[in-house]
Amino acid sequence: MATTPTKPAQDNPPKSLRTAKGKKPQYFSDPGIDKLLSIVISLAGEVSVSRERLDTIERLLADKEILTPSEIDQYQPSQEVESIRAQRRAQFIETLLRVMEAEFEEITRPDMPGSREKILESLT
Amino acid sequence: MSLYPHDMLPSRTQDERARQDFVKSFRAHLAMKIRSGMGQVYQARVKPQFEKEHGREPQKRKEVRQAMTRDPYYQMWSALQRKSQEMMYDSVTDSLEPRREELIERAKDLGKNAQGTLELDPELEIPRYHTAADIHIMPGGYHTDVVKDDVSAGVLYDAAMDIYAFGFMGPKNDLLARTLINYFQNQYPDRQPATILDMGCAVGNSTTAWKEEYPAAEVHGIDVGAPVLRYAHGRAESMDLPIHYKQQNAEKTHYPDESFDLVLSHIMFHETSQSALPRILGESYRLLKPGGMMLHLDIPGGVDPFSSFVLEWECQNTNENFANMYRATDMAATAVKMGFQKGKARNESAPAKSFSPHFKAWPVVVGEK
Repeated sequence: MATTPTKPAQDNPPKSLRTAKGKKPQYFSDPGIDKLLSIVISLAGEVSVSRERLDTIERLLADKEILTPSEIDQYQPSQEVESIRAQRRAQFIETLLRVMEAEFEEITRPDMPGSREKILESLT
Repeated sequence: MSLYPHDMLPSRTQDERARQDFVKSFRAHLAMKIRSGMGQVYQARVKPQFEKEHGREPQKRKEVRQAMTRDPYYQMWSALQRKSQEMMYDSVTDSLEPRREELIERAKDLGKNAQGTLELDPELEIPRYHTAADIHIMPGGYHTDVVKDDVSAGVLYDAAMDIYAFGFMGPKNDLLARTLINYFQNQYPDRQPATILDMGCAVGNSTTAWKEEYPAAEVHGIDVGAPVLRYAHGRAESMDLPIHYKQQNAEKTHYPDESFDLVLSHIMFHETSQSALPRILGESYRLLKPGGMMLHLDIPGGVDPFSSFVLEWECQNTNENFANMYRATDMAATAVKMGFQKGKARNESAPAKSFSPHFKAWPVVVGEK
């Protein structure tokens, strides 16, 4: 989702950390609500991104008198385009469900402090 | 408004830009609209309920916190606020990750014909208050290298600050430096510092403002994080501002006694610790020339239990763990304990130079040697 590849990505650059070290607070009585809200907001962000992109495209196409809406409706993707789209969808879903990975990392990363109290104790 | 286009910021695709802009708009809405509802909720239902249960109003921040954290409005606001901060770093990482090597090379190129300097110390021990938890929930904090010669933490910090503050830090992220400069020039119009040290400088967003203001001065910036300093060096060089960045701990620097006319910091102390704080004040004293001045600006506190509770949010929720303890410290009294003469250290207040939501002024501890 980050870039707009014209062909499926080949190389994998080193990954940044995506989860902060520390204790993530829980805000609702049911932790599922925290995650659900997080997912909904991620989704809202991506909808906003898509709307801006479509807006750009429509403005450029109209400016250049290139396309009509019916041509867009009749478009048939090639196999290559389908594979690019599959990759993008996978990335999109990963972004949406980041909150689940964060919980997983809290459990599995050995240097994660268990609580804020533990962090404060170490601030001697 | 976007950030000043210096050479260390990653380029962005249409979608990356839109993703960052969404978080910026989202945070502005939370800060300017949703946050103010907390006061109404507190007055309308949380405080009356507490009074019913206890026969008195809440007297301590902790009591407000216990009552507020049960309130659905607070829960939703907090969850959204935390989410917006996670998304902020995610959205910058999206534009950083594919361009990391390019940015590292750019920093190296800018260093080749540099007028300023960069001195890193791979042996420097990173203090526990940085490694215990990632401050601001910025993944990896100020100090983590994802790859060799990394600048990632600098990119994250600088680009995210603009989103964090939805632009009110200014295109060079220098609102706090401009606030402190404004205070200094109004209060001490005759001073012309020739040597300046900015402690805990991170990406140098404040350091460069001082160099712009005093171009003839020799300006130094220190921080414990190597990736933020590499970035700071490249950023300053691309802005044609020669600055000397060194990887050092402000508790115990390598500079000789009486090296500087001005020793500064901008929102650093609340990210340190109980033992580091007095040591940094003592080190400030040691580094000042006779007649020199220290100016440390940091975050404001509340004026009553409720506002104190609202302002402690970052302490409880985004790993600004020491912030409450910083706020409880009398900085001027501590400065006197650490070497400043009685009457020569004062707790002052600097009016914000431009719009800054929630804060009209910022506390400054001033010390003269």
